[in-house]
Amino acid sequence: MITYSIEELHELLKSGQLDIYQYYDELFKEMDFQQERLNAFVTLTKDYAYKNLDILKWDGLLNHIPFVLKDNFSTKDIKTTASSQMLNNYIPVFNAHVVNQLYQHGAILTAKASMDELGMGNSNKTALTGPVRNPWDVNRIAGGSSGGSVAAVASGVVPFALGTDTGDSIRKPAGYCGVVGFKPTWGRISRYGVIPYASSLDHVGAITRNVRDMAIVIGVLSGRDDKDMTSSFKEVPHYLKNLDSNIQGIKIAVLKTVNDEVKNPKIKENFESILQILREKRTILEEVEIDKELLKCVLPTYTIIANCEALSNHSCLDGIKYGNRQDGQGIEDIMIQSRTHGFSSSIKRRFILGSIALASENQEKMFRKAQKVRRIIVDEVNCILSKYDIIITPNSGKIAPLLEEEEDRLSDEYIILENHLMLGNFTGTPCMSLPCGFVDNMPISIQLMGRLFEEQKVFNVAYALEEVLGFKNQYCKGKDKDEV
Amino acid sequence: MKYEQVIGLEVHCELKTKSKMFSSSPVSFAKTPNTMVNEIDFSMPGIMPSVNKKAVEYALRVCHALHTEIDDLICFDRKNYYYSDLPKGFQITQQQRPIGKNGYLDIIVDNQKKRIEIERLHMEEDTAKQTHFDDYTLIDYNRAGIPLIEIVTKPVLRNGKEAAIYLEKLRQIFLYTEVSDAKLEEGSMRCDINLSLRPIGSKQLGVRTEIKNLNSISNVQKAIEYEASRQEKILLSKKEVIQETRRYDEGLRKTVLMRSKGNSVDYKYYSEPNILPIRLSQKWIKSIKNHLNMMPDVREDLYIHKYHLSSIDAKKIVSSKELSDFFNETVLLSQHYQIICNWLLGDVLAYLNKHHLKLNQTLLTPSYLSTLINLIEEEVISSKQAKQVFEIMMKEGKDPRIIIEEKNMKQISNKEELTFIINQILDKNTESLIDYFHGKDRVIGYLVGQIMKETRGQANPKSTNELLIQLLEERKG
Amino acid sequence: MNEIKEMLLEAAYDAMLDITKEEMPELIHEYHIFMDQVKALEAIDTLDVAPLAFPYEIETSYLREDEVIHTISQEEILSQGQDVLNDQIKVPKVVV
Repeated sequence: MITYSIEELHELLKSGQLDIYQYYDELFKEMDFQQERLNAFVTLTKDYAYKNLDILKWDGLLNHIPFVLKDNFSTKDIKTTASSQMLNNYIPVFNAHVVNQLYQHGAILTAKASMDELGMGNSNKTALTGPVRNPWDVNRIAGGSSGGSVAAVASGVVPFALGTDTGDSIRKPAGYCGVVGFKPTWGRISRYGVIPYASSLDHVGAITRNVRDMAIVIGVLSGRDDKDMTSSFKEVPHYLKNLDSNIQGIKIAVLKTVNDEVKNPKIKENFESILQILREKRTILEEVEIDKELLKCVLPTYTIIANCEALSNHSCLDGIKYGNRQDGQGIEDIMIQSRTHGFSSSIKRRFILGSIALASENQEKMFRKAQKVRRIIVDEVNCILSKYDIIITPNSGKIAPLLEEEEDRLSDEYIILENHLMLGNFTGTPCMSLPCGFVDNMPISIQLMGRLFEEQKVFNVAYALEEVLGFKNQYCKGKDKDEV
Repeated sequence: MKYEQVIGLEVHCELKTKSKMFSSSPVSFAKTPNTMVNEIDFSMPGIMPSVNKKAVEYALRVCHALHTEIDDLICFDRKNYYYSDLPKGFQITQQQRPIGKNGYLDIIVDNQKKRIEIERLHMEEDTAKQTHFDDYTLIDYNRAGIPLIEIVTKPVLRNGKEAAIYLEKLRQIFLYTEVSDAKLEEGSMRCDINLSLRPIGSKQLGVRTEIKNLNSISNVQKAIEYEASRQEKILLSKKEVIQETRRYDEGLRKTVLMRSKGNSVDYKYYSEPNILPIRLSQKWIKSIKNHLNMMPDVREDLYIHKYHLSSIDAKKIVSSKELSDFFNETVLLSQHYQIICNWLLGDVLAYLNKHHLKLNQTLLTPSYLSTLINLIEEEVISSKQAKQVFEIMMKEGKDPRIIIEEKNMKQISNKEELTFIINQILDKNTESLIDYFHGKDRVIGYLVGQIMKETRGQANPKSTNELLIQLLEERKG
Repeated sequence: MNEIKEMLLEAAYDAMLDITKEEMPELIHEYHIFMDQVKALEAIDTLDVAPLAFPYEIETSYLREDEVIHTISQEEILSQGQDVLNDQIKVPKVVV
């Protein structure tokens, strides 16, 4: 009963076919069940949700539609932890801009979702509340860092959730969990009030179960916000109205250098079948390459820039005016004790590496070097996008890893394929991961990247594929396999 | 060995905008702590800065006044360090590209003009205010985020006196551009000193110390004088000056060690990722220049050459922008420039001092003052009456003409009218006439007194005197 | 090895962090991976390439009008402070 798309749910609730209280009762029951199974949530906002059901209004598609926020979106009067000990008792006194947007459109917050601590991770195993499990197989990870948000949507409880994406933090888990993950152009959605990771790479985005829902949600979130000086003045098109599955003539680049690294034959085969569909849709499909040595530099470049910016962005977390404060001998000791106690070891390591790369004696050869390599990489990608509308790649070379599985961080497959989604963060271009099949009973995805501010083309290609593929609205509740 | 002092000054000035540099909370010196704040000033997680247009405009005004080159692309950087008064863990400043560079300010030292080169002017934000108690410190964030400009000179100052003159002149610039209250004692203007010594004739710079915590211009001068002699003693005893930060202790009248270079911080500067480069239009930059108030130097010149004031008077008027503005407006209404100047520097200043007021706190207007002066010059009232009128005018804010009317204070200068009155008095005082004929001149005073009594003081004293003698002489003949 | 350890401890202190003995081996391990990454970038010729600080080159002309729009009440803003005295955040005496 709860697993409708936004448009379906809107119609059912508006027409009264679905009693709204009954619906929310069942929703929270289901959330309790999924929390038990997946450990996806940090805070359930049941009281808040019911309080907002008092006055019913039907002037937009998001009225009374439930949603989930990654726990790094500031919510006034609702605990916002970023899954870190440092903010475990932190209650914001203001809302993130996008939270206000969703509230104004009548959407109902039902939970704050687990994430990798401060967004710094790709497994969701570093969350203060423990790992988030994959709805399709609870022995596997949901992926991160937006793991809780993705699991919430993939288990069917809410039609959409917000996430953030600094390296691939929406798209990777969305791919592992078989749902649609999207981050638009950097500057398209305000980041005000979103606890940052690395500002020049951070994007706000969403997770849905179909492309239409994505067009609805991104349409509401997008647009200029004066509080975020980097947000764009560009007009926001009506993504939903402009959805068009006729993609004939669209020029699509297949990034061979990345695709070549896929070792799993089933994923390879699946990817070929997707390309075949695109050919049948009469798009112009061509292979392109990027220097392999350059692609190997994506991860190092990312690591350096992200660690440096993260260090600075989180310098405010010193235990003085809010957040975790520990006792100490004098002011400096309080800061050291608070930060040492407030961050996990892996976060501390990243900060320390950031501190090294940003130090004035190293900055030229580390941080600024990385910023220069970033430019070279961005120029390469933009060169492809100057000739093609879309770049298509497999979202990942594998299915969601098992909880205890460690990645081989030295293989080319890992270095090139598993980190190529970061290209979209380097360039700030709109990127979507779209479910495209199953391998070993686990969902897999492709990624579509478009030009800056050309979200609509990404939506349209995805929309066309979705029509053919039939993975629209899929979810896994876990009670009964047949329900899938 | 003889040494010369090499001094550079870094001056911070709080801008009196309505809202803060990067947040829309108020700039106010309210006493109640933490009431002029929002989440940005507290650096709550997720906040982002947005640049205050007025702050940029104020920075540009000072840039123009200091003749700097202006960078029309505004960029900001982060200066990363941890301190309890720094909510973000970094300060947003302009390290790479200051809005202004390579400017100058001319000062006069011992009647000699000296050009003080300005290396840079940049925008940044203030920190929170800490109040220290015996065993704890309290933090008030009202000050956090107030716009600041920092102005750095090249190391071209050579002694404490020059530094003091430069600072006073710079303070005038802040006041004349109307960007700040520029009060050192209240911290809206702050100064750090960089000082080193080198043998006279040497081109190399010596090891320098930095001196902070200076709350008056005279303390800057004292601190420089003390520090120079301290360094000289070290050098003369063949030891080395240590690069360190010191502060001036007003009680001890000494500079004392704050921290040595060894534990200096690496600020890890890098460009602020949440503020895009901001392109200023040339039109705006120009219009700010065109609307700039006339600077003190130009006014002084004008007063001397156009209004023929003495250099001393001109300087005195220019020393206060309020006074100078008032003078400028008054000279448009009355051409008795010197008399306007005399009134302002005399009675007006005396009144302000007596009542501890500022000019704008009184009810005096240029129009009232010029009217008063014109009335005196046209001999409508005596200067003695004018003093009375002035007092009332200051207290009640009335037009002098109305005061004269109400108090019936008009001066009688009309010759026929005066002749009639004097003849009446002379007719009544035949004895005095006889005394006068016998050469007793002092009866004149008595007679004038009688005339004044008769006219209730309104007779023009000068005309009365002249006319009385003339009439006495006529009767004698 | 001790040199690296010391350098890492210093970098930790720079970031206001303490590292325990138990945490050190993993930190050193990560440091070496990190330095390999730095080395990997050295192979890329970046002569005449300017650093890219934003995803794309962009300028704005927007400046916020100087208006007081948003203030948060004292009670609310101090609500997250763990030690508050006389309407201010209290910390141990800061030595100037």
